[in-house]
Amino acid sequence: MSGGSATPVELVTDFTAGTLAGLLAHGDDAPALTPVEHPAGPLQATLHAALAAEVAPRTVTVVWADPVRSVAGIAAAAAFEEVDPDAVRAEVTALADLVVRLAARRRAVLFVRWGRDDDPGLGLLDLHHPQAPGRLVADADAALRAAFAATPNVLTLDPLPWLVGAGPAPWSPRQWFATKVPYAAGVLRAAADAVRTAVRTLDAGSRRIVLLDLDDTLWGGLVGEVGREGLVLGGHDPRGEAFVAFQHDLRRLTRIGVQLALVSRNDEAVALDAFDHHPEMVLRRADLAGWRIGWGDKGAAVAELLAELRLGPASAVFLDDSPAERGRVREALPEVLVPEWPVTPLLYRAALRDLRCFDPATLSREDRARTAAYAAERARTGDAAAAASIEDWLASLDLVVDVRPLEDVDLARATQLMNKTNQMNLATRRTTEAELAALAAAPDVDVVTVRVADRYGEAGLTAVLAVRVDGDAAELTDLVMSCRVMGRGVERTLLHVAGRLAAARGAATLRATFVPTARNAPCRAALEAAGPARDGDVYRWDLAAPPAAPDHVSLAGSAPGLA
Amino acid sequence: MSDDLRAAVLAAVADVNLQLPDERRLADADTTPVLAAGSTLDSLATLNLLVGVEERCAALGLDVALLDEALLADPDGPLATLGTLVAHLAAVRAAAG
Repeated sequence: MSGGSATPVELVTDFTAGTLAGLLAHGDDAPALTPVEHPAGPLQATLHAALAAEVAPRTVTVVWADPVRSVAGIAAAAAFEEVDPDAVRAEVTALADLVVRLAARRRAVLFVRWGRDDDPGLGLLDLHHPQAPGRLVADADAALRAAFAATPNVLTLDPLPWLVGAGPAPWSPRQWFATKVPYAAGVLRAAADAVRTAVRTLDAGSRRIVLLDLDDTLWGGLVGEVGREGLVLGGHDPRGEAFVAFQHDLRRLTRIGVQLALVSRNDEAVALDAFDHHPEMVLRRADLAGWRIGWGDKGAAVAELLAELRLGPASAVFLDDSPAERGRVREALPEVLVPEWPVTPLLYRAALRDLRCFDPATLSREDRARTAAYAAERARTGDAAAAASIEDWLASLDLVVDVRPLEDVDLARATQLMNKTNQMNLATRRTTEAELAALAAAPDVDVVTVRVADRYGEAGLTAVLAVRVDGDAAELTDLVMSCRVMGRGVERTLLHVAGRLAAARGAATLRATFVPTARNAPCRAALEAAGPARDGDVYRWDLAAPPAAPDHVSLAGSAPGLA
Repeated sequence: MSDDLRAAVLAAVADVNLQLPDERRLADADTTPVLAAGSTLDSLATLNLLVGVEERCAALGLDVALLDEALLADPDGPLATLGTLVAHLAAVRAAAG
């Protein structure tokens, strides 16, 4: 990466800095960095060289040196010579003073924390004996951090994760003797990532809000289908425990000023009920800065919510288990960080930690109180209009709805769908496999299964329709659809398919009798959107003007009237 | 078979490429120069590549010394290109039995 806005990063190291400089200069991720190298040498000498150098005002300096090579007393201890710990402390204090002086001339100094390399030193005594190298390094590390505490622009980077993540041999004797770099390549890669993250935090601030989907993101299962009692959350279950751990990590973010908000396709009352009453929910309503829970477009919902909270898209992260929803939000709001998300919740917490986009450069009392402030603001702020284009997104999905007569191989899944679906369910009629098979075999009935796929993948068998025809009148007896595919025009397509099934058998009208339940309001909304005549809970279409399918949906399959 | 050795070399190439600007990155081809004329590697990148190859070969159980003065001094020798490097590694393994 390059460009005039690149942040200068000065490297003060006691090893060859060229490889690290290359990784910083040519990484693909933002922000762009321009490394400034000093010749490798003893830390004290390199710090003096840096103090004498003219650098750009925005320069961030990385100080990375090994304590054994930096402090004569520690080097002597590593050679098992007798040393005076007070003299070592004086050397460390002098180095700390140089770093603090350098910080006064730099935007920030990123000091890589001191620790022991792979030398076992005095073994069992290494952290115990006052003259052991391990003990002296540990004491020096503590003294440095204490010395930097009063200088807010000296920030400490911990190399331990870099070393652990680099595999079984983070220190490389080959690399040291060949290039005078003590670390394996993986350590330098991780270090470059950490420096980039730190500069990003300093440059633009960290992300300030996490926008969360609910079903299969914050808990397992569809709350609208299974109710809060049926959610996979907590308990003695690996997935349940993983969701709880993920929620704990989200909640700790709120304590450093990161807000949490919900963007979910759900019934709002049902979803929030889980926050209020599920015994194993870690997050509660009070932890939320706001929410948009409904059946609309998520891109628009994210835009509305951010406007309500007076946050820009560059401050937001959107987490959703659905690739389609992630794609929609990326398209609508490119500045929102929308990371790919693991398939299994067992990796959710690790994925959140890996984002490294919430690191605060400072931490104030106001940061810690921000969630409460937003909760108050939520009561005052009105909705804001979203500018995202749902039509463009739908058109880009390459949505295919495949409709086939019910086959034996699909009987179990179709029955399951009939018995578990609550929200998009016309009659909420429960059935057995035998009953459904018998219905499909009836000469005057078409039972079809529906599979949905888009450019993000296949959603599988997600809907079942049953249409009975008597003369020129047809009855849509069953319409069930998983809410996983709601909001993409599939529900309108199903009504169109029902019309074509009926017309193929010579019907002139199609009727649907809605059986209301506590949870199937979305189904009524879908019926009404398809333009029928209505008499109470009975909806009727004249098949001379059947329900239209959305333009962005392609129909496929072998069902009657469609093949 | 030298597929594993080729994979080791390419993994080391991938590491080195991260340190290089686009125009100097090594192509995945037998003819890509390492020491031969036209190489895009400076001395540090060359050493990083060879260290990376040595470490990956060690993980495969092959102890090989590429940071050898004679090898490094010969632009037309075993380290001339990625292809000759893989062939050299295969020969060292064959010789080791």
